Amino acid sequence: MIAMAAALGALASVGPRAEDLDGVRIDALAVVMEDAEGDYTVIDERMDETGTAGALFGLIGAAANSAHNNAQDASTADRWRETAAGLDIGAMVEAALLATLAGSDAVVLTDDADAASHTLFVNVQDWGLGRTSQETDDLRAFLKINVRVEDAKGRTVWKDHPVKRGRFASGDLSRFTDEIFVRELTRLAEKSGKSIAYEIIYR
Amino acid sequence: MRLVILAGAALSLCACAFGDNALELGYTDAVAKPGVLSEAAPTAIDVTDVQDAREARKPVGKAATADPKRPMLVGYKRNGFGQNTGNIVAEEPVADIVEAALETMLEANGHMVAEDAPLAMETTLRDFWFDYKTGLVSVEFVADVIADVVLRDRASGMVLFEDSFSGSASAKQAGGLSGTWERVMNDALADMIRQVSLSGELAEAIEDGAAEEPVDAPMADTDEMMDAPRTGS
Repeated sequence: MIAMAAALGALASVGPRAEDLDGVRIDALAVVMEDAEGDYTVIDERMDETGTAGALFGLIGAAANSAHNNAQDASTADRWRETAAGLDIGAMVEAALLATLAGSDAVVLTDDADAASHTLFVNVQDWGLGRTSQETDDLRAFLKINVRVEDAKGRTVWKDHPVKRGRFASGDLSRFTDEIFVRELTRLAEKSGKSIAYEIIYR
Repeated sequence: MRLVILAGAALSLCACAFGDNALELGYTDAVAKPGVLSEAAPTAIDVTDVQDAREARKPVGKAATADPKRPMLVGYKRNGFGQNTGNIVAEEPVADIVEAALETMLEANGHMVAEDAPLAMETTLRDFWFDYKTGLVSVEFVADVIADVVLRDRASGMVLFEDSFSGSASAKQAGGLSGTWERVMNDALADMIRQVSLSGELAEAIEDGAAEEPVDAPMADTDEMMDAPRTGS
């Protein structure tokens, strides 16, 4: 695998990378929540996925293994699905974002997209509980958001995909009570909103 | 025949995955830029020794018995079957790297780092880890840094601020070796440090601490958090 990675290393990245907002003059900023819901998910079994099934049984084996892990994680996610449905992650992110931006003199907010020199697009991508690596059994709340700032001509001048992870960590799922689940994700949503705003204010 | 080819391929690929790789990790002045903490009046702060409270992950291979590299361990090299075959290590203990990064960040925000300062920044490192996940046509490299940060008034012993910060970075590529690993791990560290520098509550605590007016710690459920079991530790 390492050798294969080395051989292919020269190929272009297909993943998003943060760009720098340094020196970008933003006269008026519009904020658009493109996706406020995102996907609630649990990433546990999928974290252990390797290329073994694919190597031994080909594409069909890899697909079957992946489907099995997905099903197990979906079953785990069912524990908090109802609670998760009551969480408006996007609204919490947006509220914290707008409040932080509005409290700063560094940026003028506008509701009129045509009058904006720049537009901040926010997409809540995935959120829920997940492990950070194969080497840990602990799950933490997480929230992944994709953001980008476009200028008036629609050119992307900044993009980022911040991931926030909660403080509470446990490999014992029963310890993630509904109360802790809500508290951790609420905190992450607020932190994320503030953090995105601060990235723009302190660009 | 197919099995023979697969076994041969697996063996040849595994062989490249043994041994240790050392990464040059750190947070430099070039990366640091002012954040919300720069709004607080310049204050002297002591960044105390960072406590490495990461889960115990033992090095593999020759380093496994002596376990001398654990403070430097940041990841494993893994073969296609998911087995750990080598260590990915930092050139110095990661706790020292995080401590130096926090000091650089504070100075970039206009504060002074001094051992005898009335305010102490106490940090517990929960995670500092690099990992990768192979897909059929690409590899996703991921790194996470998680740390609990406490600001304490030395004279009273009172906690002025307490929160957990996380930094993440990832890159999905067709492949990549230590240069990519180093970049992704450093990006995660920079992200975590940036989050600290963008904490409005910490900025207020520094202000209040400088004025000797402690504020309530925002984490009301600290005891419960600390009770959370950490497997493997």
